[in-house]
Amino acid sequence: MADVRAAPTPGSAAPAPQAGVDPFAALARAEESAAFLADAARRVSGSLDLVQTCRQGVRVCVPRLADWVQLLIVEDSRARVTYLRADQAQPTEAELAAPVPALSGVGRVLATGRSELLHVDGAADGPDGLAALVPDGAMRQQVNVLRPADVLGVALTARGQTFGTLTLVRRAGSGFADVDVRLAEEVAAHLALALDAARRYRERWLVASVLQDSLRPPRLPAIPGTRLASRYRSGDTGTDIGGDFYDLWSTGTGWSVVLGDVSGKGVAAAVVTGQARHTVRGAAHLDPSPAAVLDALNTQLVAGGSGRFVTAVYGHAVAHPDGGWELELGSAGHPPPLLLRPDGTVEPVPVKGLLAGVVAGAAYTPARLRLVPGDTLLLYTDGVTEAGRDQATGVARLTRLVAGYATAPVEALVEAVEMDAVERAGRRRPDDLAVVAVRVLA
Amino acid sequence: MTAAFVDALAAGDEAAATAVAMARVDAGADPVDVMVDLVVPAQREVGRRWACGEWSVAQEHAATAISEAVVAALAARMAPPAATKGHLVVACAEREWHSLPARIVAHALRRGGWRTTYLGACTPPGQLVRFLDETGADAVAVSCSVAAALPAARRLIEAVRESGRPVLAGGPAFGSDPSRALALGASGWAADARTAADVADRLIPAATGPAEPLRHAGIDEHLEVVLRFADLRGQVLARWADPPDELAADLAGDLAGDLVDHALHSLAASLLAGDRAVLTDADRWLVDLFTARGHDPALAPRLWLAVRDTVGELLPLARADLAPLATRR
Repeated sequence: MADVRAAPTPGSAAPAPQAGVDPFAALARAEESAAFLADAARRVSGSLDLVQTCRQGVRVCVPRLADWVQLLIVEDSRARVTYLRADQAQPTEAELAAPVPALSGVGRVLATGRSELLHVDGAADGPDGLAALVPDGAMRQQVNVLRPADVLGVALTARGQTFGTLTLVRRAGSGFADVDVRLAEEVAAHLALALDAARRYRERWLVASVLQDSLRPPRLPAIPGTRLASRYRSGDTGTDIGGDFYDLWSTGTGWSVVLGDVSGKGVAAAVVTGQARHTVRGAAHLDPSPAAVLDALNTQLVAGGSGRFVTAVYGHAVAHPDGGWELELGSAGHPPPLLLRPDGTVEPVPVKGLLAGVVAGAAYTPARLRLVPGDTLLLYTDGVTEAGRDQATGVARLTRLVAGYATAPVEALVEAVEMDAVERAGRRRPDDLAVVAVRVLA
Repeated sequence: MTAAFVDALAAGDEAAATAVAMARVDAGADPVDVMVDLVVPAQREVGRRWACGEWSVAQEHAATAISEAVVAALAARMAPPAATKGHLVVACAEREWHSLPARIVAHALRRGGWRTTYLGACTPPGQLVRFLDETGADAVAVSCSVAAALPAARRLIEAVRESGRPVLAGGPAFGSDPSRALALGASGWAADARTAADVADRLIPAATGPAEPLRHAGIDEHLEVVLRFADLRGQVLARWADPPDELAADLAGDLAGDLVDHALHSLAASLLAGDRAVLTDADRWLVDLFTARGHDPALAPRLWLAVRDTVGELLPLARADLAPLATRR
């Protein structure tokens, strides 16, 4: 027969001193419990991933609190269940239908938020309350092995909401004393906060990841006759997005490239990079010349009134009848792109213009250059050249560095640029950084 | 043999290098075995050519980029794994730019039945842990080729283990037995790419908690080296180059600074790991480099002497650890 009792109310009264209780032993037990709780609290809060937190949650419970543990979290009409037997290394995961509110078992714990203690006797899967606390047949099999046993169901409640249960099973003889129930409830309280944080993080992340993906530089396309490589690093390690951006796409008769830097850092700057990229793509579709595209970018930023400005280089290349490309390149206040010849000569492209987003009607005069097979066009943001804190020496240093990579694969070139900038920034918080290299193939 | 492959790397001929590798796969070799038996030894030769001054850094870099492309082509020939044991993330700590070994380990683990993601060189711990939490990955493998990256590897290990996941460590910077990796808090150590999958199989199912805090006496001295790095570097360089004519001509440029960095980073790492062998490894590397470049190998003890004279008063443990290297004849 099942023996269902109401759980004692934790903390309702301080236990009266009892005759024959060794105060030193009691103190040692209290210290042990406090240390266990501190360790458990730390272990369950280490991750923001829900599955990982569930696993850590059941791991901390065995063997100290129970011989078998089940963690159940309600997610809409389903329940995510993680369970572990003390002699197993790896928790098992399952998905069940969500329990319905009930007068006993998990349904009751979820409805009331209060603990439920149950003793089950030796008869395997007898008609007792076990099924209500361990609803799944396969899991119940594991518990039946432990019969006769004591079963404690504890609510997982965080920020006013009970969203799951922790079910602890002890084989007979070890039972759950009042202090055990209180300890289990404290572990459950820490675990519930960690689980709730992980659930909220996942909800936010689902939204954020879609938005962030749209604000990260795109994967470079394959452009016939060229080899492309790029590197991007956000100075904001919290989001992986920042104010630097680039884009490169085929226009049918040639290709267009843009690389730029929005003033400021982090998400707010990243949002403007998204707008800038769309503006550039849209404008280039109508008229791919640098004068038209940079004018459109400037106009949009001034009219947008975001208060942010952008430096950018934009180039449009068409195939030259004698091979290679004819490139028109414009700059809106951006550090000079470098042209790397196969013999190791490095020429800064002399192109200037006002940074975009400051003055309406600024005009952009492009430079024209011929890219022949073996040439490499290198575009970069000031995160590369200012890693040593000084733009002029930065450009000189970059020029010396890239000269050695005139015939090296462009992947090696962009990696060397990234590595140099990151290592020079050293322990200082790094700036955003973007590099694009276009090599003309024979 | 690997000669044809190294020749292709030297010539900057990606197509030829890929053809050598693919010929082995066509002859029935497993793509991962080709990475380990062809690309890895070739890269060792690439490193040797830089060390002996035959190749510039840019040439070494260019050859490595070709090897990376070959590894990517080999990976495309791998059979899709039948069953997946879990998701393993392969990462390099900050200061670690040797991407290729980590990439090969990722492919070896994939062959062993793991889903793997390689995060690239020089990954900050915060970014790694966020990736783990967002993808629900099960474990991390950290690859470390240079001692300079060991302190950052320790931060990475701490961050990952705090999230309840195990960390597998490997690479030359961890030495040739598990002790250094375990001292730095790794859950396990793999000797090479081939054995990584076996170690992962044993390691991952085990429950794991946070890494033990490091409390030994070397930690404080490690932190002093890190905090005063720029200052110490300048002092060591000045002492090493005194009298200046004794420092060989091609050491006067960037290389001398790089070697002082190497010595100080190795000192910092050895103090952190509580492992003197980090210093003896660094010393062997320096002696090999000087010998290969035709310099007096006594430049190595002179460098250690300069380091000892610079840090000795401030850092007694470092002073004792450096003594055998600095006073060697």
